[in-house]
Amino acid sequence: MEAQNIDVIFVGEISNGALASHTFEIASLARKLGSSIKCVLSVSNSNSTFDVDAASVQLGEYGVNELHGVDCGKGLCGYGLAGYINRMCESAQSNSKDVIVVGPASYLGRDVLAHLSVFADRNVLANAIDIDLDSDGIVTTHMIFGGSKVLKAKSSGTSPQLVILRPKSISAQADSATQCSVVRAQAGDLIEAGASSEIINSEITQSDGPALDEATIVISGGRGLGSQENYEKLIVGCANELGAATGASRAIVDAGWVPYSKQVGQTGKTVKPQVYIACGISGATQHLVGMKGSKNIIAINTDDQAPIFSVADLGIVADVNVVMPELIEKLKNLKS
Amino acid sequence: MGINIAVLVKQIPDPSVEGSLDSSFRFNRSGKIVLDEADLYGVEIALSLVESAGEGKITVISMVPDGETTGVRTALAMGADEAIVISDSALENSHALATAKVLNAAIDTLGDIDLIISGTESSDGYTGTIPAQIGGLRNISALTFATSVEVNGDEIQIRRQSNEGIDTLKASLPAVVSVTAGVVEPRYPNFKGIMAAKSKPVSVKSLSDLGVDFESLNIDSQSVISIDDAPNRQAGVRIEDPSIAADKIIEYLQGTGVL
Ligand SMILES: Cc1cc2nc3c(=O)[nH]c(=O)nc-3n(C[C@H](O)[C@H](O)[C@H](O)COP(=O)(O)OP(=O)(O)OC[C@H]3O[C@@H](n4cnc5c(N)ncnc54)[C@H](O)[C@@H]3O)c2cc1C
Ligand SMILES: Cc1cc2nc3c(=O)[nH]c(=O)nc-3n(C[C@H](O)[C@H](O)[C@H](O)COP(=O)(O)OP(=O)(O)OC[C@H]3O[C@@H](n4cnc5c(N)ncnc54)[C@H](O)[C@@H]3O)c2cc1C
Repeated sequence: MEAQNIDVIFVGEISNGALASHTFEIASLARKLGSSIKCVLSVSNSNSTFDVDAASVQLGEYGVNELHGVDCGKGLCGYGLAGYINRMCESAQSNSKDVIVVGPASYLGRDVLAHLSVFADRNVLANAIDIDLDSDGIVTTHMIFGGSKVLKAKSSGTSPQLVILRPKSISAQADSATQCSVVRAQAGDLIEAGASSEIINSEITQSDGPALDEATIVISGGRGLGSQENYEKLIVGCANELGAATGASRAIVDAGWVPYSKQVGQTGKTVKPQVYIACGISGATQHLVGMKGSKNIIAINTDDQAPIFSVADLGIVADVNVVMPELIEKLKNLKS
Repeated sequence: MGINIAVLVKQIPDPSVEGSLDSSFRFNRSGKIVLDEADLYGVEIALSLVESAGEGKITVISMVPDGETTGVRTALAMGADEAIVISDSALENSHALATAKVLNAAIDTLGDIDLIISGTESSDGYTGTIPAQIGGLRNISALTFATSVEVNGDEIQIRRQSNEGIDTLKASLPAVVSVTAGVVEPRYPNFKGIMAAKSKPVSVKSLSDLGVDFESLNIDSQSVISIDDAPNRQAGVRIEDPSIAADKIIEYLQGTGVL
């Protein structure tokens, strides 16, 4: 496929009132793949106050040509957005354009691409970390076996090509500013009655501190902490001093100490902070795949054989119950 | 009467053993096969929905290339009533949409179904796309990433994590719901359950039994072209003396400029 004949349509997302960082990452990748870049954003529900015009200016700086602000009605927007994107694909194809649709590996992105795959009768390439063009299709790159191997897969044949991209795989880079036009649309009527849902209540959890996937410093805890109380005392306590975001291994998410939104790894978030601090985490491959792209890694673990040390720039072989209280104390003193 | 539930369960190579690929890039299934742990939660939620409805039926459905039934027996031992295993060697390289089409054809054989439950993502392929694909194929709502599920008459309510907090959603039945791992404590099969599972019906069906046309699955549209080792990080400095650990961490943080 040739970039000059490709439309890239991608799923943008709003997180805590602003465009999510993966929206800029995908825009940056899209420029390499196509000549016309269109971002589709759900502006229903809690996002109704979102400033679409301001977002279009931001996206223009990343080379995006069109921003579609789509209202999908009262329920989950995956189905409606997919129906809307499917129409965009059909109209591009009727103009003899090839189409690549990219969504983030978030709840929304997976729902949209999954629904679109049914509309377009096309399989989805999931969990990709990069996309390249090929003579008769695309080549996607995936991390497999917990990130120990890099797999390249080729998808050929008729467009659209559908890809789910993992956040933090591509670095967001602004481009020479592009005029990004805004299209407002309704997709509620694309949702068949039997497939509709309704959000009847939205609780906003006040999160203090920076978002896990945007923070400069991330401090995560694992089973080695011993208890939920220790997570509060040692991890949250230290994060408060450092202005860090808090993360977790799956072991303690499954144990119910912290919510799933804190999970770092293969089935959780990918983080790439300046500094990642792993406390009482063994370093299973499924955890490593979510954090080993961090600029600097500090690990604290009593077991000097723990695999986390193989990726740590600073490895502390010690008990978290000894090191962390002292660290928190010293950070406090440093401030005052 | 009662509630009629289908639970989708994947049978996967034991994830505690490192995976491998054969020469044609197929995932090696020659070792031990288990019920995907991510699917225990769906089975548990189905069992508790039947308990609170007073009566109902749970059919577990699994697609495999090799006739495997060990994993569905685990679900039956937990208390599910019946199982359908779709097994066809032609499905060896199936992608998610093809899998969804096959699972959907099996759901069609169950008559009036109220609810289809799945995990949010499998432990081996983890595309996380099957539940919404099934919703799309059946034109019913797909309530994904549920942390709790309640059924009242012909309405379903779920709670779901959002970017900002928690949403509560409702939809009418029939619906598909995918449940997040870790939200309930799956029951352990007891001895009685394991014995009972031995006599519960497990029907193994091929693609042609289900009337699925292999060509319509488009399995060959994607192929693996290479696999290489991922670049590795090097380990750095080790500190074994706890008395200097906190100072060393502060020194290191200052060195990176974040402090
Ligand atoms: C398909 C699949 C997907 C998965 N996805 C993820 C994922 O996304 N994220 C994830 O994290 N995991 C994931 N896992 C789970 C993963 O395999 C590990 O089980 C998990 O990461 C282990 O968590 P942990 O390191 O907290 O616990 P453990 O492995 O139990 O490690 C605890 C560590 O704490 C150390 N320790 C004990 N006491 C102390 C002390 N006092 N001070 C300091 N150190 C101490 C121990 O030496 C040990 O190394 C997945 C697994 C599978 C099969
Ligand atoms: C490393 C790896 C990468 C892959 N990448 C892709 C890819 O990019 N695109 C693609 O289309 N396919 C991919 N596949 C193939 C895909 O995993 C299989 O087609 C699989 O049968 C369905 O997808 P899933 O496991 O991702 O399902 P998910 O959507 O992650 O699973 C969600 C739920 O669906 C149900 N479910 C899934 N599979 C079955 C089953 N066989 N039987 C019963 N219930 C089931 C379970 O309830 C499960 O919890 C990949 C496989 C592997 C091993």
